[in-house]
Amino acid sequence: MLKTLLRATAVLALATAPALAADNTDLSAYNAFGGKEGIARVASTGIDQVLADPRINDYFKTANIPHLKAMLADQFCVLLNGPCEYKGLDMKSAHNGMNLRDAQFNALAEDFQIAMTKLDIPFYYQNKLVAKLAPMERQITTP
Amino acid sequence: MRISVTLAAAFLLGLACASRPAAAQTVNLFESGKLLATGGVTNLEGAGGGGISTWAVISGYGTKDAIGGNVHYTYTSLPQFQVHSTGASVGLYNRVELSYAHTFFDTGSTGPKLGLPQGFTFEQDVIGAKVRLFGDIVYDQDTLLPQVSVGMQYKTTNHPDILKAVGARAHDGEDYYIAASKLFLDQSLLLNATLRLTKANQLGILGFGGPRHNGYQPEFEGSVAYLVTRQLAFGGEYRTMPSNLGFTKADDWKTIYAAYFLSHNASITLAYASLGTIATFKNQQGLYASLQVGF
Repeated sequence: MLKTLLRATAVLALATAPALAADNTDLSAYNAFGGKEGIARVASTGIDQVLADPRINDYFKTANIPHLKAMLADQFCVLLNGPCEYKGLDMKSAHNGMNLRDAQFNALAEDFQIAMTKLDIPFYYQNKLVAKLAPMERQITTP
Repeated sequence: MRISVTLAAAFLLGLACASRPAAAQTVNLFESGKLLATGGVTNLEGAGGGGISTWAVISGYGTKDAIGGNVHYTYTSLPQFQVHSTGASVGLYNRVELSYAHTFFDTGSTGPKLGLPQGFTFEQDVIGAKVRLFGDIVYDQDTLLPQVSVGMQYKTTNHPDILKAVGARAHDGEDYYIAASKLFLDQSLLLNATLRLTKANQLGILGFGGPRHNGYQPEFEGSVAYLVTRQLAFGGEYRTMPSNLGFTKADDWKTIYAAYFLSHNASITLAYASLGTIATFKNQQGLYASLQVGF
């Protein structure tokens, strides 16, 4: 019993180590996405997926789609440690007054997962991006 | 009595969550708003988790604004026994999980070897309540804080006379647990650890307590899942078991499993379960298959 607990703690500690050591010079995900061009394709295909999604496409009726795609590409590139700069709004301001809930946030995440799969980005690297986006739920949704 | 108080408290907490102001006009109470697979599957005792382990997740696909629900059927084929389990669970506002499971533990042709009639079947009801205390398995990617839930299960098994005859002190009892689940999304890895206070012999199917030990003991459930795709996870589980009875020992349980999520409405879990000695029969290993339908 105690031995099992210790073993489990050790496994936990080992599994946690890489998460803690996550540095912002690791370009493996950036490269797996295909660099700037690949990331732009993800942003574009993802938004196209969103626009075809009846759960959330109403929220984008008045959006400037090319601008949105460009902003997302920059943001994703920065999140994947790429040599980019994001000049858009912070996430709270960008979604102000939209009254978004977790269901909409997750629907968008799912659309991007589908888009990344369409673009043959390995799931393991997809998760590197989703892991960076997930905590934004706190800024994007209405509590 | 205790179970009804716990369930009432859990239900009231659920209602309290319900009364929070809806953020938008378009709230669909039964939408499956969680990300695929993040509700876990239903385990043998009817709780959200893996196959034999309990996780901190609230089962179903309801977000904090919605309600989720599941029904499941699970079949485990062991050399000497067949286990059928079915049940239903409800997840309220990603806060409270209420579950019911009914298990048929069929001794088949093994029955007579245990002094029981051919095809003798123990049946067990499990009523469970789980409350998420803090943390979010998906969104908390920038902190090491896990999602943590506490829960209790009331279990009652039929044939109290036979259970008494084999040494069990009771045919019903309660388990209490605390579960922590942490998704390391950047590693595609989910870890779970649960500490359970229990007297249950083989989940309670062989009653509660016994001549060797009759008090609550802390037992551990650990599991790991690797997310292969959005729809597929592989993993393993380990669960320690008390050995209270005199006529037989109980071993720790282990599984390796794959869970496939067809959609937000259906999933299939296949596992190879190694449950050790059950009622004197050693090496009880076999296939575990579970089908779950819900929202």
